Amino acid sequence: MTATQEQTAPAPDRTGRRAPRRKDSRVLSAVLGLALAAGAIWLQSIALDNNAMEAPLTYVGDRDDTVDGGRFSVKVTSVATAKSIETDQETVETDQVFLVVGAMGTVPSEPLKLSQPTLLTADGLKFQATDRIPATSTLANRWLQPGFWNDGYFFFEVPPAALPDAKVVFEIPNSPLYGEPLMPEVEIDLGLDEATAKQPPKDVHSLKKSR
Amino acid sequence: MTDPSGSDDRPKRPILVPVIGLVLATGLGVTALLGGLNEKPDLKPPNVAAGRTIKMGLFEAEAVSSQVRVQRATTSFGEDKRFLDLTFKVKNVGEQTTPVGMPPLGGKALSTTFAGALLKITPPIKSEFATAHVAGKGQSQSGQLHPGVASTVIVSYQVDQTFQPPEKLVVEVGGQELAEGHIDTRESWWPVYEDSPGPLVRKVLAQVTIPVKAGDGA
Amino acid sequence: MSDDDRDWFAPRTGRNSEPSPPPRPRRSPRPSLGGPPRPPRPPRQPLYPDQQVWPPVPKSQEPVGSSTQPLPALPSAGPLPPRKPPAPPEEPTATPPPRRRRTLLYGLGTLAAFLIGIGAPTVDSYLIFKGGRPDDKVHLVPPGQSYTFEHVTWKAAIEPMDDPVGTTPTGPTKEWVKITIDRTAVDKDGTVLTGKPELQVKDRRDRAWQVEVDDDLPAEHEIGKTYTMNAFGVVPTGLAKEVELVLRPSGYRKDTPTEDLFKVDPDSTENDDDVLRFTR
Repeated sequence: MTATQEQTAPAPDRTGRRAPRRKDSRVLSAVLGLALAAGAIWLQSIALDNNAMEAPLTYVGDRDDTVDGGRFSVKVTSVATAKSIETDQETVETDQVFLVVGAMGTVPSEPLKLSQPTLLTADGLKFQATDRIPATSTLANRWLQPGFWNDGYFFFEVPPAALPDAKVVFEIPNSPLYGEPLMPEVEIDLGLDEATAKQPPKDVHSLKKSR
Repeated sequence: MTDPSGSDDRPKRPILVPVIGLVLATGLGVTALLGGLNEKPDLKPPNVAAGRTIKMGLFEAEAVSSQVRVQRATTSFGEDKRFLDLTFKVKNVGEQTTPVGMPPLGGKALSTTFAGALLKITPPIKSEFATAHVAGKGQSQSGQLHPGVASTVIVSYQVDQTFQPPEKLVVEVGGQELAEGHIDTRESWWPVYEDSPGPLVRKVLAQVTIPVKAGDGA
Repeated sequence: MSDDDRDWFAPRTGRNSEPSPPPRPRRSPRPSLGGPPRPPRPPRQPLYPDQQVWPPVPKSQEPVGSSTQPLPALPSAGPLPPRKPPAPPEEPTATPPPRRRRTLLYGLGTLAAFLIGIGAPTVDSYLIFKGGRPDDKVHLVPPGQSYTFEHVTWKAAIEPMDDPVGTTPTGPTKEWVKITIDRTAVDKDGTVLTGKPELQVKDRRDRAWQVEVDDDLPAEHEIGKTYTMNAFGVVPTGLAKEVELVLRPSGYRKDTPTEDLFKVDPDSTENDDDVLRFTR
């Protein structure tokens, strides 16, 4: 004890000078450590969960905008509501309301067909396009090809309350076996506010006339 | 012992701890021997009358009625077909559109759809073909149950010409729950199964009694 | 504190691989990672020099640290030389340069960890992605010639055409192309490999357009007989003279028994990743 203690004696002024700075640095280290730990915990808390990790990449836009989703571009050109839809075969009625979304699409290089889109309502519900209108009458039946736009309609059967602030999400089919992790999707705000959503629907939306 | 002041209390402490330990160990052992705490048989699924709402998890359903329907032949050489129709009012309480599905028909009931949760019918219906659809206005049919929307679902079991409808049917209804998958780790809806080991068996949430109305084919 | 820091007795401090520094009560250890504690400063003995063993030097001249026998540290023994630290001797004097170098090292390490953390899953996902979509093996066919691939000889011609009757007019931006494909079975296998080929037309920038086969050919063919099918597609105006047909023969055999339709043959080398490109 004494032997070692005495050894520090030759440089007492040095340690004495350094002591206050070391105390500061100890506090600084503690603060830094706490900050790092807090940062790590915060990072952990904002980490994406599995559902978010597997979610597609969303490209957003408004009605009448050309929204480029990388592998395909979509533009919503018209939005209408109707009580019934007249197809080539039959007239389909509903107790709720048919939302008719007119859209066009193109691709940069590889031809593809859109999947049936989803209507995302203001309160987060996802309505798939209705199967009461056969898919062959929709834009999903047409190839989107490079160099020109192909247009068509999509149909949703929804309660009228779902219309304000609704958005349409367009997707392309993924391979069931070797699914890609980050598929593109295009989300387009239809621009329906309370007032426009309350407008009475048309009696009949005819696909025959529009062709 | 040599200390007179502590001699009264001292024996208690060394005994108390082992005794508590022994009691705990015995209790644990007895519980384990009897098969654990989870083995108590579940309560019998409640009987539900038609018209009462059943909370299935992803759906809220209510049995409405049942009747035998005859689908007339469209051609002169075709045969009439008979169906036992079960009508339900179903509301999808999930966040997205789901298919209405197919009744399991005695096969493995592994589907999260509404019709896939109609596990068993007593008395058994002899049927080789069954469908379910969502009725719409007019003749149009749909296979979709949209979120937050209550719709009429008609489940049809094709029956042969000799089928005699019983007075009432008891349908065992299963449920769905949100869980994470093993391979696809996203949280999604899964059928509710019994906890028992071995092959998966759907848990019966309720037994619904549906009166069979006298239809045109009865 | 004083007892443990007394490092003269090996058994006492033997648990520490590093020698304990002499006590410096107000000094906290340096926050360096794994570095040896800063050795005491004053008397430094880098290496023990050779020493005279015989004839014995008088004890009074022997330096204190030269004994090979451990000596008890007695307070009365006066100041003892500290044990030599194993660290490189320049370390304490040249502290600032290594520190800077280590900062760089930490930075590089962090960067590497970051890149590996992001990159490894990405590469893994890409390999899985690519495993399901092998690159096409493109067989280039010289203009106007036929090409025999495995069991079938293919020949194709593309020409612009007017709008087919009964279709909506394409307008000024698009035009139709008509594709004529001749196929001839060269052997027995070729007569049953009659599945519809997948067709696309591609321009020089490798943009592709879908082409639909119009005709249904008989299920079984004769060896050596040529069957012709027509296909139609729409391309942007001006490209009808440029686009080339890309044909992916179908590996489906018409003689597959129904029960084998969904069987997967693991030994099968027949993939659908061979394509014929008919250049123009």
